[in-house]
Amino acid sequence: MKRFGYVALGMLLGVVVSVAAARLIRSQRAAPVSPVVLEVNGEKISLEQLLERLKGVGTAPVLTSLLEEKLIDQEAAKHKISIPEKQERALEDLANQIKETGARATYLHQLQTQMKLRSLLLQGVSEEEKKATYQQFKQQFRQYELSAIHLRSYLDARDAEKRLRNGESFSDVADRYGLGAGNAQGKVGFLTESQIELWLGEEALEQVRRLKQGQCGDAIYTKAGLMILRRGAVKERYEEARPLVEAVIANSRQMNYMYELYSSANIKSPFLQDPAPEVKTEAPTPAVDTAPI
Amino acid sequence: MPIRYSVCFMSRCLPLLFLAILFVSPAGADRNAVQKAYELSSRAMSLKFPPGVYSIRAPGFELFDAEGKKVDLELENKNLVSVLGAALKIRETPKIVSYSENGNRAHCTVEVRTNMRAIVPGKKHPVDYELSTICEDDWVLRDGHWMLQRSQVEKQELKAR
Repeated sequence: MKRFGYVALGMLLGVVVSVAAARLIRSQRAAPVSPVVLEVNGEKISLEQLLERLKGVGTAPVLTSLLEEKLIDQEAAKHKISIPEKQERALEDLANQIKETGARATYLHQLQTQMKLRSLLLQGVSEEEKKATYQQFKQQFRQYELSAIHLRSYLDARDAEKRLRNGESFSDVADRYGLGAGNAQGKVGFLTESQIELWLGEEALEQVRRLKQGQCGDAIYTKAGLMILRRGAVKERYEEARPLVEAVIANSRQMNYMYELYSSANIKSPFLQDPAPEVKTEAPTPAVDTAPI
Repeated sequence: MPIRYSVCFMSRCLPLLFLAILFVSPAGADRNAVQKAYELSSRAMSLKFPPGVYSIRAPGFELFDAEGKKVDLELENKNLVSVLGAALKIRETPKIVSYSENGNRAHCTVEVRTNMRAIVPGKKHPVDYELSTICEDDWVLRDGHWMLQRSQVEKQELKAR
């Protein structure tokens, strides 16, 4: 009888404890505690407070970028667009240049999104259309492999020209006389005529046009300073210009395409007042070697 | 061939020959070449491709606005890039109104109609614009290609719908 009393008391206590625990859990679910993002001398700032403060400042560009990435990802999934393995690896290699893990992942995702967007924008564009565009603007798609020595003074220019005439290699002369740390061996990359004109001016472009492959020009005053230019190979066949042609066609469609995506999407955010008209105008990254102009 | 037949042949066929010559004369062919060059530039506009828009210009090209002031071409390029950046769609239709030619130089009046749908900050929906431009243009024949040497804007009118 005494034992039965203990069992009954134990059961009763169990029920009381379970009810109390259930109430506690329910109360916690109803009013979740916001995580602490900052603690100053024992006083806490919650995530909720941070978000409230962020509403007033520059969250919109970041959120717009996330929104666009999401729209493009969803559209790519709808059209079963994926990135080929080879290109995926190339993007990873590019992203791996960034040391910090979080930034690297973000950059990789942005590159993947750009690639998917390019595929979406080029949907329905036939090879004939691309070739016709190339034929129409063949000269504008021509790319010159350019090297440049950015010189400090006219005296340096004379010395550098003399050394080049005596058979010293362009890269050695560039390392000796070239300005700028990122200008190792004077290599610039492949540039179109309009890129050269924009960077160096019309006179320099005329010089590049006249140069033969492997030939250096005389020192010339350009828009970017005193330079010696050297012309390498020229990319002008359709197969070589194709990435540029595709970039131009994709860019011409991007604004309208993104606007259509925005217009048909159901977007909700307390941080965005009126997200629809905020369409970015960035061109897709052209898949060509270009100098950082 | 009896002479009367040949006279008859000539009297009937000469006017036709003349007409044929008029249609395929170098001036006619060159007017077509200039029209095609304008169309190429317009095609580049719809591609939002400024290097293509300028591809018809000769080295040393000069542009003058409606007040006769010379336009800074770098500024013109910046303006074009910003306009194209805001455009959802853009279409340009050039039409040569008058054309005259003198050796390796040509002068023409051209009317260009530009239809553009653009996003305007502060407006919820895109706006349709129609820009009508009349230009007096000088062309020069270089290496077998007609290139635009000088352009004078005579009249420009912008309408929003």
